[in-house]
Amino acid sequence: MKHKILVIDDNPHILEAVALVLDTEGYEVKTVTKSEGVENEIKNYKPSLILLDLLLSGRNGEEITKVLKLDPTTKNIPVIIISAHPTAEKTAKDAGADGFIAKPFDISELLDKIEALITPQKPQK
Amino acid sequence: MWHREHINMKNPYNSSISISSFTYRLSSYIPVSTYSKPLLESLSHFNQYIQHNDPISTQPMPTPTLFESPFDITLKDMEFMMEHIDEGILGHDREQKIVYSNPTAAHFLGFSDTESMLQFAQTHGSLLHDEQYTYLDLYKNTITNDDLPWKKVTTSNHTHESIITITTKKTQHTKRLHIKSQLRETPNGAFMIVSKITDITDVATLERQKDEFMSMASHELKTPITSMKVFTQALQRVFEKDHNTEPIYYLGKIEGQLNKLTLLVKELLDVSRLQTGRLELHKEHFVMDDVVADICQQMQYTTDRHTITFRKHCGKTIYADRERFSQVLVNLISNAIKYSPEKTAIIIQSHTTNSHAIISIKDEGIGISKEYQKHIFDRFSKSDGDEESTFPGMGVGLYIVSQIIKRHNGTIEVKSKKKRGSTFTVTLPLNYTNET
Repeated sequence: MKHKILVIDDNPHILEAVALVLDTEGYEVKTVTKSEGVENEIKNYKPSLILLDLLLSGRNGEEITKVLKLDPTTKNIPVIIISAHPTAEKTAKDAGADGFIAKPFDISELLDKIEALITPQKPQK
Repeated sequence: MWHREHINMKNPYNSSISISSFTYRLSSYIPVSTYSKPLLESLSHFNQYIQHNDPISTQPMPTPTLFESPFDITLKDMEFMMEHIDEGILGHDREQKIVYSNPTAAHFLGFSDTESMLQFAQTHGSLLHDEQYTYLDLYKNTITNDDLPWKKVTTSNHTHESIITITTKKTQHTKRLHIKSQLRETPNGAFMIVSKITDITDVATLERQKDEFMSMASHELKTPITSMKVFTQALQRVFEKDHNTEPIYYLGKIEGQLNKLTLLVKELLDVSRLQTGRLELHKEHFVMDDVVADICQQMQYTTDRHTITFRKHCGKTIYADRERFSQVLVNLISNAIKYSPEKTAIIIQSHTTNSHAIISIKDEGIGISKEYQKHIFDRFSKSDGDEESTFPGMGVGLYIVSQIIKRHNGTIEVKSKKKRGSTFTVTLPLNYTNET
């Protein structure tokens, strides 16, 4: 079975680019541009990992992460926060995120972080 | 109480000018100014104004009369000027006693008038009214009496500037002051600390707005760069699978340029933050050599022609912002590579004294002229020699480096000779407490 990754970012170009890469690497990908109702999306889709932009319009990634990490049904899903803001790493850590990537990032960095968090089985290629 | 004397000298307009200096209150000297012709002409306005003995009159100003130089400026004129200028002027003697203050300085520092300021200074031995106000520096650290610029010049014997935010505790009303103090010798051989205080509250607001704009702009710029970079790398992977080398080569070029663009955006944001004191540091304890070795290895990947060697390790743990420290090293090593087009050796060394960790980056490149070395850490400073002008950059890299080191209470210096290479030496204190 393929690992499922949910990518949440309000920029459609970034979503398309990340989806292309993750799909090529053998992950199943779902992309979401809106922060509203994202918890239901997560509960229905049951992703193995969430990639979350910090500065979403509406609710921000920090707030969403805190909610996810308090909910017993979602707290074990690894969350990687992605942000272009230079000081966001601390915010991500404090919110309870499992990883942080600064925009712009290298694909290899993204894939390494995802792989490190999705264990033990390797994604099918 | 008043004493005056005149010195006549030639000014650039080739007419004689008069310098008046006079003592006030504690028989020391107040700052001396040279008056050039245009100022003299405008002064004549005030002179007539005073003679009418009606300084707050609303009647139209009298028609200005041009005075012949030298203009014998009266003490009253001088006093009038000092009282009405919107800059605070403050004079201390070497024992830190106030010898002069104009009313503006007293107002800026939170006193109703000069008298109450002098009285407060006499009873408290300080000008900081901690019961009524909070005083913060640019980095939001509380300042004490010893941090004030006029206190600093007595010890270091030079010009000292700082920016202080004063907040009224009751109303939370805030003003921001720029204070510049200089130790000067007066004409009679006494020493005086002359301080100029400027209210920069409005400027600070503009700076903050600019900083917010830069922050927003850099975020907006990074978003398209991110998607371009991911698409480029995704394409590279596709071509790699097909072993199609030509597109990989060109995509590599695109990626290189995108990385450059990312760096430029980052530098612009850093400069803006440094200016407004909003560059945050996240300090932690780490072994300095580990980070240095790591950066040396990373930088080696960027060049085939140079050999980067890390020698003489110091083995000490420092308390610093790891990312910013890395940024300093990357910048200095990149420069070493950039300015050594023909020579190959770049040597990094670290060692410690009892109190400091010292790291040096040495190249054998084109070197830096003595003249340019003076300005090398200034903002937007770029080398202007024929050879150097062909090197691209915004001229902010070393400014950012020097400011990051300054924020760590460290120093940076350069030793260089044209065509013989340069050595940049960074010194960081080891006795860090947990302050930011």
